[in-house]
Amino acid sequence: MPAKASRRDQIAALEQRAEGNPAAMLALAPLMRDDGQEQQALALCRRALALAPDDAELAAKARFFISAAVPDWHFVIVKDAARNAAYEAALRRWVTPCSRVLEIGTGTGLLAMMAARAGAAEVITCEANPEVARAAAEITSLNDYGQRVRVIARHSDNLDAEADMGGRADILVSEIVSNNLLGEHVLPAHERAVRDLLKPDARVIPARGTVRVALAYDNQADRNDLGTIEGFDLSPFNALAAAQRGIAIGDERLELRSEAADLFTFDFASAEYTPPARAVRPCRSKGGMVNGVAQWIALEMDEVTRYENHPAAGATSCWRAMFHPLSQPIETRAGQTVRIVGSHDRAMLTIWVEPAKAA
Amino acid sequence: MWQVFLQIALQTTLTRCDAVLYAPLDDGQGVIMNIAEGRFFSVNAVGRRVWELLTAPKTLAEICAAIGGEFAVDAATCQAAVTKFVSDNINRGIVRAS
Repeated sequence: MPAKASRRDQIAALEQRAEGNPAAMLALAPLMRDDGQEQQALALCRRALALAPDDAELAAKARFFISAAVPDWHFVIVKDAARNAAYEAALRRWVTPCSRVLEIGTGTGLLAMMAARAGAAEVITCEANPEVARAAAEITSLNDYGQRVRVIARHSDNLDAEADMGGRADILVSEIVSNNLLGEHVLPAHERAVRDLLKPDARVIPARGTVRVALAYDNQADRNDLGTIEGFDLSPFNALAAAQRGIAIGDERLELRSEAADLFTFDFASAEYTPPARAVRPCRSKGGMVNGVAQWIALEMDEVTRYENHPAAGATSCWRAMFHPLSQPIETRAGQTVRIVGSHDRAMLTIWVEPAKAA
Repeated sequence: MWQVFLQIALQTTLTRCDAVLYAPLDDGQGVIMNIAEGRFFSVNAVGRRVWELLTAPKTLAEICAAIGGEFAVDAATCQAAVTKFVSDNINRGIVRAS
């Protein structure tokens, strides 16, 4: 008797039967995605659309499904002019007519086209999301860079320098950093790329990234807190509130109450494994109430250009500052030292404040 | 979703709904998907056989007779099991009773 079919076997059996039936194919796509087969699900969705190109209902449902697979930040990051200028300045300094550039995380294709515009002989750019890769290929062709920018719809971990790239690259450019710097797995992606996909003396843009922190006060910290509602005390539910929240860096609700400190700095041009780590940074308070730690990022594109989304009233950035609330606010005096502690596991960043020692 | 409790008589005619996908599995079981809802259910060997019998509309009595003949089960147990299976699948929107 054959082994009991797994959920994946069941979905595969349904997929075989669904082929040729666009409505069934589209209905199956979310089940495949939820089973961890996102790329196959998107491909199934595309095949369904191809079978019924004039079916408006199918098109609407397919768009709903496909767009859900594309993070909203793709629409935000490319509008950050300071970020774009920092990347372009570094690319113009390092790209030569002989350069072969590798980009990790194509997105819209903006950085790849910047590299081509800077004069690169060839740009190979990879993108794990097939829908994003499809759009990027269309964009590079639309902008007449289709000949020099090659989009590969694959995660960089699955790229082969010889078979896919025609040899190792001279320059790596990427923008796979999140609000906490690490959440898009920039460390493993760069370590592997530097080791297997770049020439030994290759230039990496950005070369380094830093997680920065400061004591902070969010004057709207309690705006989502639950208290007495309809006569019932719901306050214990506040223990389940998010451990951190994103705040636009120019939002005046956020006030820094110490100078900034570098919590972690990462060498993005290193092939060496960066282990999970913990760091303590004593910060001198400027005085006043502290109810959390603000965290943001800095990117050193090269020795010349640096980008930082330091929170300040009116400042803008595609990246948000992350606010890590304290369990209890601290009323500080000017000059008082508060020790900020952070740990990372190469993707997730946790930040807290060391309890004050009893006098 | 409201659970619909139906009185299914032996003479009730049962029909597969249209927007349903079925696939037999190598382990003797099967899977049935309600396309409109995007959910699927696994069925055991008896359920699979009931589903295959419903290729054309049949009464509950006809299904019970066929299942009773193919599986070693007494008539009362067979009728109870088939009625339960059919009721569940009416509630899942993949079988229609008339």
